[in-house]
Amino acid sequence: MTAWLAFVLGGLATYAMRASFILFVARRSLPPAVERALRYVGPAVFAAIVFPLTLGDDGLARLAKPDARLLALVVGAGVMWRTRNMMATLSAGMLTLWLLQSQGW
Amino acid sequence: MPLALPVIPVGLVLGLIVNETDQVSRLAGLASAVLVLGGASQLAAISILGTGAGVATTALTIAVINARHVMYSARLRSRFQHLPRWFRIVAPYVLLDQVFALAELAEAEQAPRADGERMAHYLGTGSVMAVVWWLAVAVGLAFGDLLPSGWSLEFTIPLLFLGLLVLSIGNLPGLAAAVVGGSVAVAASGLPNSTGLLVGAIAGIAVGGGADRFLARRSIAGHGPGQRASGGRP
Repeated sequence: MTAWLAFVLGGLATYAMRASFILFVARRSLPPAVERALRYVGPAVFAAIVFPLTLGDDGLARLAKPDARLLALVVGAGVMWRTRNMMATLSAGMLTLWLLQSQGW
Repeated sequence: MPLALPVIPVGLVLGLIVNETDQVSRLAGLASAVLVLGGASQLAAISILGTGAGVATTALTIAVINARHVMYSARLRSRFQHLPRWFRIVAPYVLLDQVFALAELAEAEQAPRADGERMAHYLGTGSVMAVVWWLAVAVGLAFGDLLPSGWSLEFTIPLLFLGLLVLSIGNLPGLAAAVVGGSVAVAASGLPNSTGLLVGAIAGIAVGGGADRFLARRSIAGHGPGQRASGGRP
């Protein structure tokens, strides 16, 4: 019962946040400076998700001694930059990871 | 639809964790995919339920992890505000990271678009993502140990978000937003329940907006290059 109730409440909260501006305050306009800044929601949020995932608990110190995952991500980023193709990015990243791991990284 | 692929191993793992958590029944685990529809928040919720967390703590954890969606909602507001009410009721339910990324990308590459086309594209990607997620969780619940171990398939998740990040950077302010947002998130990663993500994201958005304004002023003054389209138009 605890789990069900938690999922219902958490789900309602999640929907409310996703609907906040689209549904509830859709007609009210935001200040132009805010709208301008909101153009950068994508890069800011995705980087805030990816950087900690990539660097783990070491933080920026991980850059000094890259592991197989970090190198595979660099390859993936390069492939996405050139091809703008998600399938190519996933394939290149996974292949790099498997290759490095097989070499004992 | 390659964007949906990385969520499959995560859904399988989620099913596996539900099977190992006495506090969450299989039906409740599947219900979480329908009620919440957010992989990271579901994983965290099921993990802490397994350690004996109560309703309030778990619901709050889900809410904090999904709080970034407020920013997606704010970004899409001006683009969706003239669309029919039924769409604005349905759309938030499937406002997943990948759906937002594709909406921004489509806007940057093929604006201006007709309302019908915009709604069909959004609901198309949204429904594919939702159905793939439900199926992956269901399969994980039914055949928990299906996922081949040792293949590191969960690594497709950071790869996916890195790919979305690269696609979302369309200009210099976008790059600044990413560098600042990511670095601040790393610095704040000690904060509980991924609130570091929110702190980093807000810092990145603010810096992106500031850089955009600075470059726009410079180009009006006739010094700098014209402003390129960013990850989307207002």
